[in-house]
Amino acid sequence: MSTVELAGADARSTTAQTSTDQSGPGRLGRGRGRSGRPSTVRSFFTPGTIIAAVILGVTIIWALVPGLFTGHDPVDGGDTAALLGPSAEHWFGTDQIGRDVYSRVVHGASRSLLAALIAVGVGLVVGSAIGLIAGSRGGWVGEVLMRIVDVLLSIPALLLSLTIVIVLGFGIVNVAIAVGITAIAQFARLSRSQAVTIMQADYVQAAYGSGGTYWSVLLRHVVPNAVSSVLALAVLQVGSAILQISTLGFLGYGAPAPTPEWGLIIAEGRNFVATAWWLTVLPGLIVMAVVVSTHRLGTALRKAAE
Amino acid sequence: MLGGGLGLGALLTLAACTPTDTSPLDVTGEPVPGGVLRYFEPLTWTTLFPPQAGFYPNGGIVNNITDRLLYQDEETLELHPWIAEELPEVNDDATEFTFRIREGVTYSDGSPLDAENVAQNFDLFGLGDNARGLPISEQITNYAGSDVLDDRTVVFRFDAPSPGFPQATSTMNQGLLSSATLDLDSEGFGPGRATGVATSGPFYIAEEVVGTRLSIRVREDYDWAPPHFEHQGRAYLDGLDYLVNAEYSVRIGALVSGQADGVRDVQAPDEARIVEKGIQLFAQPTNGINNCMTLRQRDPVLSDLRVRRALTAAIDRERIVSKLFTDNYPVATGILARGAAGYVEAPGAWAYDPEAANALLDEAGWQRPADGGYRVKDGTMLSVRVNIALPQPRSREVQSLVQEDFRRVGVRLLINEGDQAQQTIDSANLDRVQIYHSMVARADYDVVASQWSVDNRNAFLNEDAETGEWGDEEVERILAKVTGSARAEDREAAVAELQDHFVDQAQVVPLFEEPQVFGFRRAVQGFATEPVGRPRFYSVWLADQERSA
Amino acid sequence: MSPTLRYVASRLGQAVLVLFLAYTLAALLLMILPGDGVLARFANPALGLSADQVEAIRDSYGADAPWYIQYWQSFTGFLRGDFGFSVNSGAAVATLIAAALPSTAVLALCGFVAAVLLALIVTVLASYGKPAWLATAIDSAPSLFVSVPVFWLGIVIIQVLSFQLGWVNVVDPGPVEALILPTLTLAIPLSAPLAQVLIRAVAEVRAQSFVHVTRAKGASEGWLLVNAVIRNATLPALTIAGLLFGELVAGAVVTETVFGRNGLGSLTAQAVANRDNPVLLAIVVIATVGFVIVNLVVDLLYPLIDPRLRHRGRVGKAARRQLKGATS
Repeated sequence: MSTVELAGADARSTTAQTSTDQSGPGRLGRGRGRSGRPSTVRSFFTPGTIIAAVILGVTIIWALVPGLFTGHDPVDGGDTAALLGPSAEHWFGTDQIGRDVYSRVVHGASRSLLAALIAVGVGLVVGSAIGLIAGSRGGWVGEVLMRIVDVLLSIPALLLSLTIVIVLGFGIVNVAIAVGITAIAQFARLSRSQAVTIMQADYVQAAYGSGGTYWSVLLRHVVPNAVSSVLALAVLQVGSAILQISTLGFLGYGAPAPTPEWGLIIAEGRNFVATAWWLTVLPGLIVMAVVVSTHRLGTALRKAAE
Repeated sequence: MLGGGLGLGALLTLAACTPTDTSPLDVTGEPVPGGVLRYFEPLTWTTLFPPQAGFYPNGGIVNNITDRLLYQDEETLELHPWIAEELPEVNDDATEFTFRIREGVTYSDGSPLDAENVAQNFDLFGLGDNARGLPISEQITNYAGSDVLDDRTVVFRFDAPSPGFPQATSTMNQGLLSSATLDLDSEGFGPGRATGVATSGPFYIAEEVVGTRLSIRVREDYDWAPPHFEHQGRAYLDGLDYLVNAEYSVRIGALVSGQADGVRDVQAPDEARIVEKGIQLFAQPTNGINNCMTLRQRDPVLSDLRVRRALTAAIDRERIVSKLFTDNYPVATGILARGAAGYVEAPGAWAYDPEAANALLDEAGWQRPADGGYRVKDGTMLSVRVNIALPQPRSREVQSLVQEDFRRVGVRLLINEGDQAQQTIDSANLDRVQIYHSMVARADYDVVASQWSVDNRNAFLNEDAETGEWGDEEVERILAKVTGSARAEDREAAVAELQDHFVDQAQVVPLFEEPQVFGFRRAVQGFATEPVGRPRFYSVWLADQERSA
Repeated sequence: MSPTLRYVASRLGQAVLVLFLAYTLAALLLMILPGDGVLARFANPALGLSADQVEAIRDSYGADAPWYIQYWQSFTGFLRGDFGFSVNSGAAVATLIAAALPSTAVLALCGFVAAVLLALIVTVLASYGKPAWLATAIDSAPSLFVSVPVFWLGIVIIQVLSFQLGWVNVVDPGPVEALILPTLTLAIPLSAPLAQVLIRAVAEVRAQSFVHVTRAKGASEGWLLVNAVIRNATLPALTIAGLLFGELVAGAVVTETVFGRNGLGSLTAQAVANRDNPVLLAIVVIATVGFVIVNLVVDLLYPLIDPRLRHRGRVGKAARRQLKGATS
């Protein structure tokens, strides 16, 4: 059974060549070792996915109304001492210039999520467009498009994003775009395989038969049917994008100060890991929790989509 | 997972329990030769060409492998003979300097150090060679040429008075090289070729692993330390390994856990903790220009004196220092550090006064919107950008605090993002960087020219390359007086004049005196630095060699 | 030409095409980089050069040649195996890479082997761990492993294992000692996807009825399980192993930076920091060659590993699609 499903996943990916489908957390999607699947709904609402949804929900509320959760200014520490340990006043302590770390994490949610969404958005829009056209058109257009995807896939993601960041210049949006470009290939492969399958379905043939044009079929039948699995991949990619953006931050190519961003908070705090471990460990755990949650949820969504 | 996190936190708090170095140690006895010191640098060196040794990692090596004509005492700043047998004879207008060279000095490649070789050295340092990618030394200006009178006598001639030249010969930027080494091009001095650089210092380069390690070893036959030194003959250490790790937490952890013997660049928040762990801290003043912000007045916004005065008054220097630094980083009292040649105190010159800043900005026509946001004039927002001085301590954090200060008076400060390469490129562009954060160290009056002259680092970008228009030509005139006057009193007066001009025109805001902070294990004895804080390992010895073996 | 040969030839051709396109993409991107390496190296204010001096040096490097000339020179150079010279140090890029490659290759190999071992351990514990809550906890380890920023993991591992517990030296370690912590750092995130495939394979095999049947015939469960899991998990594990190559590269960059190790990863970080385009381009091309070769091999292995794929029309190219047909 597992062979069937994995093979199926691979077959969906492309006809072809570089023997890969989704890299990144996407491939984790298939990994949950639950035997049997009673029903889509029941398998979706496990305690794990509920906790994950709650964590993501809280994070989103942080991003929208950070003021509800903390009274400290995330960018101006006033006269607070630097490197204070966690306390009732400063839950996560204070950072190297006396700013409240918890407050920075809460306020950083909007930037980090936004950056991750931009990254995923770039991958999703561009990748899906390439994939859907390649999958529904076929022929030389499809071949050319998928060869471009192969190229994007063959350059290791970190090298590609580093190169792109330097070309685009520094700044959080540019970093997000660079990470997004590395995700294009995965979206393209998934949506292409979806499109190929859907195009062969009887109702699509029927739609053509009753006078539908290529574009109307694409928009009316292919896109809506592909959307669920593509969105599941998008959720998975959010976590991966957060990690990639923080890695670029570590290498010195992250978000500008002082606006808090998670990658920046962890990267700046790491210098004091021996003196003030909370500075990097606590925000690091928050990031991990969010990334794990996106994995759980993305996995569950993917299963539901299948 | 939360449990895992807590467990991790608990493990990390074990840091408080790392064994403190309390073993009994005899440091009173005579220095014992032997042992190899493991010394951590945050950055890899880029070239061993002495004129480019100003970059900390380069200087840390060049200072220990090269000898100089003269030796400058790091405390009194007095010059002493070294490779030159005595201080040079100088003619009246300070355009000719005659040096007498010590006998019996050899380079690590076996070749002799004689007058001919010294002349070749300074011809290269003073004139540079663009074809080989070798620049002029920034300490030498108006160099005309050299004459070798005999084996041991050399004369250096200058087109204009160069009273700073004797001091220049004492800096690591004029470290002497063997004649074969002088033929190398810029690649020959670069990473991967280090063992090909032959010098006459107490250590020679024995081994290199590009990017991570450089090993220098003692020259057993070294016998030409500055004559006034008590310590003569070979260095005590058998050698030194410069290790590079960009991760601060790794360097400090290695030192505290005893895996390394010394580190450069201990960050201020860690000072107290590592002293607690039994580490010795050396905060060496760099005796140059203070860590400062230069307001580039060719920028249309900053061309308004009221705006520059307002920005100066808006910066709370005390807060920056008390929040980010320790007592080793005194708030600047002049544009130069207290120990620097030409230091003059400027009391009250950069006082924090946000109300005055607000008034000045109002007066200059920058209106603050009702919601208290950034000021606006003719539809433009009052916004300036500052670079991050990555080699300087906590530059980004310093600028984050300045950013807060500016925001309180309605000015937006953008902090220029990017790595060193990006900072370098942007800093040379007025459209990108209008406030230049930097410092430079050299224990001579000329240091002000190194920083602000258009011929050197050109911190103001004072002259428009295309139109030839000046931001403030007066600055360049005063600098010419500093570098071109024959008498020390005139040069000192010119530095004071420059400082008054800067205060009056609100062009430079010195923040604090920047030390180089080193941490060493307790057993490391005899550490010293040259006048601008580069390490000197000649007299260092290890009181517990069996442990370091 | 036999179908097999034709298949191999066409896969090879495609691989070469992809490589050429990847090279072109990287080369063009790197040629429009703002601020070239010469400027980055010599305009450093600490070196105290004036703008005119920098300009003169820049000219002497020919850094202002038009992009198509630079592209052509670089491309023909690559074909001859000449990667040019580092702008930053002047050393031949081939020399730099030859010096850096072995250390990274060893690290990558150790990291990969350790990841496989770790994945096996996690799989066994998650599938057979007692008590049940432990198995459940281990079961979620992979998704945790893959959610950790690698640089953060490395720094924490050094602090705890080396500086606080003193188990391993990170300063002047022996050749084997030097590999322990970086390998661990690299292996943890790499093991996650492998572990997930294996855990799933075990779970599915255990649920299958033929196991019970065969057991009734007298074979031991352990042997059966291993056999079945190997059969079921090899293909997906192979696919993932191919994909992990990219992760290995990223992991090496971060790990070597954290541990101050020499290698392709730290060379990459330096090349980026110095805008040393010739070095960066060579690294991108080499990494891409590695990725393409690994995945080419994986593709060619499919039919060898699974005989069902051998005689069904066109081999390999549509292998996985047919695999689906063959088993569903």
